Amino acid sequence: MTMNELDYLGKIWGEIPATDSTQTIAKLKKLDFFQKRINRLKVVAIILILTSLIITLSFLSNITLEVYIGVSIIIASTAIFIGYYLKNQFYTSKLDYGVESARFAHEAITMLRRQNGIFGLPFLMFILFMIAGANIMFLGMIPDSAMTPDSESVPANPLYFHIIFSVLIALSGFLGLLVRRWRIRREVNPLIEELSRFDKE
Amino acid sequence: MNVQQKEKLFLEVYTDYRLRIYRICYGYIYEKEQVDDLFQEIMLNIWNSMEKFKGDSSIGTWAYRVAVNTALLYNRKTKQYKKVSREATEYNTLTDVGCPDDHKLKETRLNQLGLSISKLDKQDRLIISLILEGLTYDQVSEIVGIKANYVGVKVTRIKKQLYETLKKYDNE
Repeated sequence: MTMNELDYLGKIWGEIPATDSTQTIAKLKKLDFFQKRINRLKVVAIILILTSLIITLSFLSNITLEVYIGVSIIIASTAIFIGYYLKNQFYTSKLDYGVESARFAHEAITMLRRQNGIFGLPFLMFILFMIAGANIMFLGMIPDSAMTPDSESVPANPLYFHIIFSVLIALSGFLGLLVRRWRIRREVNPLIEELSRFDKE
Repeated sequence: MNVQQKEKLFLEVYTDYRLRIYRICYGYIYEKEQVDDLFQEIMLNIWNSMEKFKGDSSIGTWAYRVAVNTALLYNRKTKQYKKVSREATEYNTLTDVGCPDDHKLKETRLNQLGLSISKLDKQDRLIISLILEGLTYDQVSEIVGIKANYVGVKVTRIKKQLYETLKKYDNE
């Protein structure tokens, strides 16, 4: 084996056969159509969920101001967080594949880091607002009689409800964060490391 | 860009660069099923990115960029092969059959080359695949976005590495 043989290998390299993909264009067109359809379905689903929520709330009687405030905080914080999440989520389709690889790698790294950032302060704020919203909502849902020590209708101190639900929300947030951190360590960080090799050069 | 224009441009890329892009996938991944998978993903990205093609570079350079960038983000685990896992039968479809002995030799060499490339790191795999395609340092530089003289330095190093690995196969 000599260095010159690499030139020979370059020649036979050109003989590697490709698979037959004669249906490629038809498949791509189908996929285009399918993607557009899915996007339309998502919009319809969101509109349906919001409409049904508003209708359900309007049918409920004796809703106190605290419930309205609590539910509003929960819906608003969820909507803001989902909006922020979607905006900063790493989608390969957001990238311009036609630029030089070094620039492409740089842009991909920036997007990946931005995605990792979602699960820092923004996520913590989201969980705090969820806890606050849920607690305000419970204030309006638990009747005043429950606050009196001689009440028989509510066996437990309402404070327990607040504590239990706050802990449950915080715990689910913490678990979500753990899973996300694990995925970042396993999937995202190695990719950033690989792309950094292109970015640095 | 309307659908007809998109389709026309895609067909142009597909006809002229399909085989070259396929070989880049081969150099990058080596495992047959994953090569096909990556190739499909590249074609999909070419199709989806058609509207972004402004003509600042040649359509070929642009297509190579899409191929290389798709490979960079390709999420399947690429393995390094410790032994020759591709059977000779896979190369029975080599376009230039010639005499059987020559054909067999080509198969073996190509297999060894694929294995040697698979031992390189990802960036080097892409660069050497482009070089094997016959692209100049300037063209590779335009695709990858690193200086042409640095491409030259890298290629010399990669060739040396390949030479060492291929030499080991010769001694086995």
